[in-house]
Amino acid sequence: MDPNFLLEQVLNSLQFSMLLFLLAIGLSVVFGLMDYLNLAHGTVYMLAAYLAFSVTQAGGSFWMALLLAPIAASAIGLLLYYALLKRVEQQGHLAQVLLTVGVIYMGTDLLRIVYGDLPKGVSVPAFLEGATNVLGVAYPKYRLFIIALGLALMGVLYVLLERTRLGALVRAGVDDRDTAETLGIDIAKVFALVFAIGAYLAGLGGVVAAPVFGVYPGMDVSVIILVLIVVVVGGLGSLGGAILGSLLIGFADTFGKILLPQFAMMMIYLVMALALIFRPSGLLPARRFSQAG
Amino acid sequence: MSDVLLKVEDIQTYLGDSHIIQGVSFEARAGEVVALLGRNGAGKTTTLRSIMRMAPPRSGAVTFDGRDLRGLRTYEVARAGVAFVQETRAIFPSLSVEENLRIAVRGKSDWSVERVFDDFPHLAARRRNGGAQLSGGEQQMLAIARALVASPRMILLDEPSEGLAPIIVEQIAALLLKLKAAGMTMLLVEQNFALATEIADRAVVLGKGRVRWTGACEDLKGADDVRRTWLGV
Ligand SMILES: Nc1ncnc2c1ncn2[C@@H]1O[C@H](COP(=O)(O)OP(=O)(O)OP(=O)(O)O)[C@@H](O)[C@H]1O
Ligand SMILES: [Mg+2]
Repeated sequence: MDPNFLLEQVLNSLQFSMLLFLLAIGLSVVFGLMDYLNLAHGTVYMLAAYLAFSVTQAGGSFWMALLLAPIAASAIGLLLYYALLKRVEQQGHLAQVLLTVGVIYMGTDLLRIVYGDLPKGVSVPAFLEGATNVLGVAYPKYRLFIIALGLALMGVLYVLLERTRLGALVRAGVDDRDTAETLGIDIAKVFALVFAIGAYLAGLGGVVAAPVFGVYPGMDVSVIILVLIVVVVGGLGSLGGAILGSLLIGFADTFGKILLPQFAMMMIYLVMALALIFRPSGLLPARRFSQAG
Repeated sequence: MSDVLLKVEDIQTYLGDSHIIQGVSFEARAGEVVALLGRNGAGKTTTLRSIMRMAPPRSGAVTFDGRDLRGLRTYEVARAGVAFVQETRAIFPSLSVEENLRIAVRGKSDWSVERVFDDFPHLAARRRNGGAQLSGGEQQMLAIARALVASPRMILLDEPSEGLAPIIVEQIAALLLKLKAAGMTMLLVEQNFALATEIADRAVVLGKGRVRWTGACEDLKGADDVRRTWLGV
């Protein structure tokens, strides 16, 4: 393979991995804390992308969209959780999947009513337009921005989870929610915070993805399936798992499309199958999930 | 010594469909150490979990310092001043020893994290280690220390000596006697009869989910039939 082409595809993989990561971390930690499988996480991603479109349509800059849309999407996601999703918190994963898949359909239809069926675009800020030279390859600046943002957020989340009191509370809750409660910790409150942060990051992913992939009804479904695979491969409830899983699936998706264009998903399922054969609970799960089952 | 701190009145607790606690009543006065004794499966752990509302009773009442605990969540019971040292010790494996303590700190305790490390050099040496790397005895010490830093008014201890070497059991006994001398109210579940009667003032004997005997530990030592039937010692 031509080395320049290879470098370009490596950067594409990284860029896609970062988007997957922004969605996977929330899905994974929310599951780790409350055993809640929230597929409507993708709806928050799509909603933020549409909100970003509206902000730029109304004359706001990309940066304003990046600032406002994730906050609004996160608030709406949290409201949705307390108004509806929480009802099946104790009812097991099947009920959660059924309800949140219902929310996916409703969300898509509502956005379709408001915005119509046609894909929308969000343009990138002027100074991120065009390409720049990376080791001899002309590569879109905006995609480099996504990679940088993703890496920065991984660092911020590492510090937040491993070095702060809130992070210790989250890890304690993922390890053993009941024991955390016996120490006077209100896990429901910790969870609300984690849910809001997770939805915020998914919203950020939606805004950042909008200029690259466009904004269209159903943009959530294609990505949430990959995100689920990321979490299964990486392992539940841990930052390391979300990072590693995102990288593996980001690379498998990009290179699958190049090497086996007719069977693009093949590479992803191959990675998933190998991971599940050798590490049934994923590569780097939180301790509570590290035994099979 | 006469104020009742914890009052358990006719609680009935189910686990799934099984009626495990069938009308248990007892009380602990401030500063008193009460032993809760009984054979395997008698319902000792379930009684403690009922008080913490981890297994909320279907009926009956638990009152702590005059406050009705019905309707509270577990974290609210803890904040009301009840600490629970579980049978499993339940150290968080993903947290360091120090983090295990720090997330439990509440109010102005006689026991700061620094005092814990001064008094338990074994824990101090491992303060940055993961909770999963401790020995059984160290886990038990950490579990008790984690209860102490929360400024509890009462501690529920579930079989603190279980599975530990005799020398460690002695250290734990010494610690509990020190806490007792400082006026800490405790409810002590134990299978180690000698240890329980050494530390406790009074004993409540459970059998098959009911209270079978209550009285001073001194009297229990002489009550051979109670011991044979309900304790097997
Ligand atoms: N989840 C459950 N569902 C139904 N029954 C249970 C459950 N957990 C425990 N039990 C039963 O409840 C009874 C009381 O259990 P509990 O753990 O309170 O006993 P214990 O006195 O603490 O015993 P041990 O000394 O072995 O710790 C036992 O007979 C046990 O088999
Ligand atoms: Mg027990």
